[in-house]
Amino acid sequence: MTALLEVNNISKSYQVSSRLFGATTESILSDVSFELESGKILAVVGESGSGKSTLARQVVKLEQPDSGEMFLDGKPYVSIPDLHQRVRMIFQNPAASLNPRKRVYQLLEGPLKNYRNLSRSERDDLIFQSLEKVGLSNEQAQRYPHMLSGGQGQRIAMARAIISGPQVIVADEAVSALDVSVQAQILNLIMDLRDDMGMSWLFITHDISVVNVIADTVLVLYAGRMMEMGPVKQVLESPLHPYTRKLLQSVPGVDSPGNEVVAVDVKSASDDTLPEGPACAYLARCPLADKYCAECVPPMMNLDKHLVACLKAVKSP
Amino acid sequence: MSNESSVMSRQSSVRKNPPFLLKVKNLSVDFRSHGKSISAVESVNYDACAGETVAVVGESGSGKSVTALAIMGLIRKPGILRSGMVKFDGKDLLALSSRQRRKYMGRNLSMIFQEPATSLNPSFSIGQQITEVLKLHENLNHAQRHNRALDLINEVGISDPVKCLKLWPHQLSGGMNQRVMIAMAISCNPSLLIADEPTTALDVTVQAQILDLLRSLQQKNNMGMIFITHDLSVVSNIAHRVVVMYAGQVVENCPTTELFQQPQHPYTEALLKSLPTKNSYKNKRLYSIKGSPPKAGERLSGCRFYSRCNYAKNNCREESPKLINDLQSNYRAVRCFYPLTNATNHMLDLFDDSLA
Amino acid sequence: MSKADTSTEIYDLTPWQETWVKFRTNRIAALGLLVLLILIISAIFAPLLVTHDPHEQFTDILLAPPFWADGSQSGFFLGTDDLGRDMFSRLIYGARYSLFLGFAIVSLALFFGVAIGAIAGMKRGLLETVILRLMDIMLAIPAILLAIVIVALLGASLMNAAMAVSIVLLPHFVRITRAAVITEMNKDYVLSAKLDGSRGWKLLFQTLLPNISAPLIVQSTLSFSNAILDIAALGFLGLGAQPPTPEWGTLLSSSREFIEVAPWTVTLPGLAILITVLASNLLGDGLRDALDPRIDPL
Repeated sequence: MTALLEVNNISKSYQVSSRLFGATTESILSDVSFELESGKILAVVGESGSGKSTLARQVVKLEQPDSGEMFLDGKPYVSIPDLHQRVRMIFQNPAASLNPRKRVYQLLEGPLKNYRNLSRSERDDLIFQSLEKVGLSNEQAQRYPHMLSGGQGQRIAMARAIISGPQVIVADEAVSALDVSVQAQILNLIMDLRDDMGMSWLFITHDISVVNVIADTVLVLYAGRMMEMGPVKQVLESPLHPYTRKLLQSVPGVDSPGNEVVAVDVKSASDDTLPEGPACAYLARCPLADKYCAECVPPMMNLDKHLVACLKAVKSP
Repeated sequence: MSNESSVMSRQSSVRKNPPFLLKVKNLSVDFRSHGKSISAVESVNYDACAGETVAVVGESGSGKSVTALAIMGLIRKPGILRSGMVKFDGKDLLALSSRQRRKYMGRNLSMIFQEPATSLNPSFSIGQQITEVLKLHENLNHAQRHNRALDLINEVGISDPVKCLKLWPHQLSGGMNQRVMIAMAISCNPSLLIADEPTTALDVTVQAQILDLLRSLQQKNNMGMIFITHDLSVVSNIAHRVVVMYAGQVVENCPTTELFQQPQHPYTEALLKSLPTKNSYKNKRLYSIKGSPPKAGERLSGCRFYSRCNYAKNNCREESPKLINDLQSNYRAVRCFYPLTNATNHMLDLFDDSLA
Repeated sequence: MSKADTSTEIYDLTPWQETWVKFRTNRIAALGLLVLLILIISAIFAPLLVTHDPHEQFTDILLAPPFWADGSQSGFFLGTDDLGRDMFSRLIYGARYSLFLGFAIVSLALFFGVAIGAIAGMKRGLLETVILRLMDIMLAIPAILLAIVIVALLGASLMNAAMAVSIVLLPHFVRITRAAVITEMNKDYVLSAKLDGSRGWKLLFQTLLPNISAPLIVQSTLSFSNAILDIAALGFLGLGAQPPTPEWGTLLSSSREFIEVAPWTVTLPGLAILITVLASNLLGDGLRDALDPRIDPL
């Protein structure tokens, strides 16, 4: 079975400052590859600066990666004219991603008008159907985004994403800006939509505690490089990469109140610099690092569908 | 500091006729707009002892930050302090003139905010900003100030204090800036620290470090702390006592361990249940609270949680419940006509399972 | 629950209604709008309002003072000028020129400014640099001087003066549009509009323009007063409207030799200019506050 979405070794760098002579570029993503199967949810976890939003922009084709290829249904991105209908995106904050000057109806109408040649009544039908799927009533169609609550706004963003019948939806921190009580509603909705419509999700988040609720596979990014990828249960229960372990230990859990989170390697809080030249990106913060880690970029090792880029992965407990 | 000892110390801090460091009583704040008054916070009561961390938890718009600003005397137009009393160390803070308050507060009470980057002045170096605070409140000469600044930076766990003092805020990461903010806040050894979402803007790994730092500073200086957050998992991590706010009111006030074991208010219970946890079973639907919190100004009669509550009865719609102290069970209070007990909780679990 | 109803109503307003609610509470700005409206109405209905033909000369009543001074003539309640023409009628007709020219000049500058600025902001690159440097050069020359040069090249007439003034105002619109377009282009709602298939002019008109209209509207009202002032100044210098056109600047200049014997012939057109400019500036300030989303009504 071939994967629905296949991302092969994409890299992206941005020009940071242009001086009079020459410009410096900063690598944001390097060599990221993954496969997303139909009807599955892949969570991409990373902290700020991990390149997870940049990854989202490449996957929805808002930008072109510097190198690497992407395939949907086995076909390369360049040969898919209706890619924007088949891969859709949801942003973090509905207040920012919904045009404040348009009514909900106009927002949902946008993709239909631009991509498809439909009559007014066909458009109406699709709009009301997708509103229903995200649990909103038709009355909401005439409202402006600022009249909606955060949860309703994110539902509208989801209605807009599903309206073109996509195969993949990229959700960039889609529940991070929401209150806890609303966050659960939206996570449930994502799972419902996946089950009802069979689409796949690329769920980008900084919050690893959300991951085990909805994802099938998890990909951990650090400084634009893949650290670890594998089935959620395996990665969360027996992480192989020291960074993943660190992330998991840092999450305060309510399961056992009274258990303080311990900041494991406070060697120095200012040590989050990236190494020069080829070396492991996590070198400076890693408690296990030795001289071999500083000599090359650790290759991705495959241990029974559980990928990890760490030289110390096997030896550590 | 080992993990075990801090758990011990938190559990042993049961209040026995405590001398309150901070006492907030019937605090109400309104916001005026277009000639209308909108209540943001309504008769909030809570208190904190020395060496105790009280977490104030609530969703956006619950009034948790407004309460903190009111304690600090920072309510500005269009906000109006309608009523209330803030007693700190036996002194009524709201009765002080703004000048007296500034002088008194700087030494005894300080506050840190969510966005360290915007709380620090971008056009002064870290060193200048810390020594400026010391200049205002401590009677030290230039060299003493510099040494004290070095000590402070050291105390908040920054590895190279000398270099750090020479840096500008934009050269430091968010976590480092928050450490600097904490250093400035504790520079006069305040007896109470108000932290308004101090870790929300930070990455989890950095958040863990900052929580660690705050906890150890607090224990070392026997400082009281009001920790405002929307994140219940952070609460379980740092607080001795939790004040849950909803729509401008305190709905529950309870020691942390008891709150997580046996929430009495339906809202607290729902919040806890809707949290994704490490043990959440994959692909099982999360428990979710129906509807969304009332918007500012949308104040309803009766219990404010009525429309979202699973246990609501008829009278909840008409009558407003009061915050009632339960003196028997270790000083906890709840604003509900039908506080939850173990039995009701169990019922809901069964109901939940039958759904799934 | 009437209390709850009234306090939630602000949520149910469309963006423009909300702007109007905020604007309405600003008394001074509303006054500016009112004055402008009165001026516009009187300009439109000038033939019905005036007491005399503005060009008719009453040679026996030269330099008659207005009604509050000694020796005023009945029927000429704002007095007459040196050729015996009724001041009130000339001022009312003058409003037609000033207001109409103001609108025309601002519309022209707005249209081309938005188009050029949007191209610069959306395309970026070399084109943007060229446009920006050109605008910088135009801004570096004092406005009235630039206008004089343009009029000198085109020849002195009212239409040419109007063209010159709108060219002078253009760079402001270009810069504002470009800056606003660049900020908005990186926002999530524009990105999602792009993903929804909006590109080019469609993106500009349907998505960007409604969201950058606030600074443009404010700039338009402020430019409106500038346009009136510049047109009056050019008229005063003899480069704009030519006598006997009752344009306010021309009125000022043609009567300035009588400032000692008949001060009203100079004061009244000056006052008319002042009131119009002040009113549109007040309106602009009020709009700026009302359109600013940071000033939340709640």
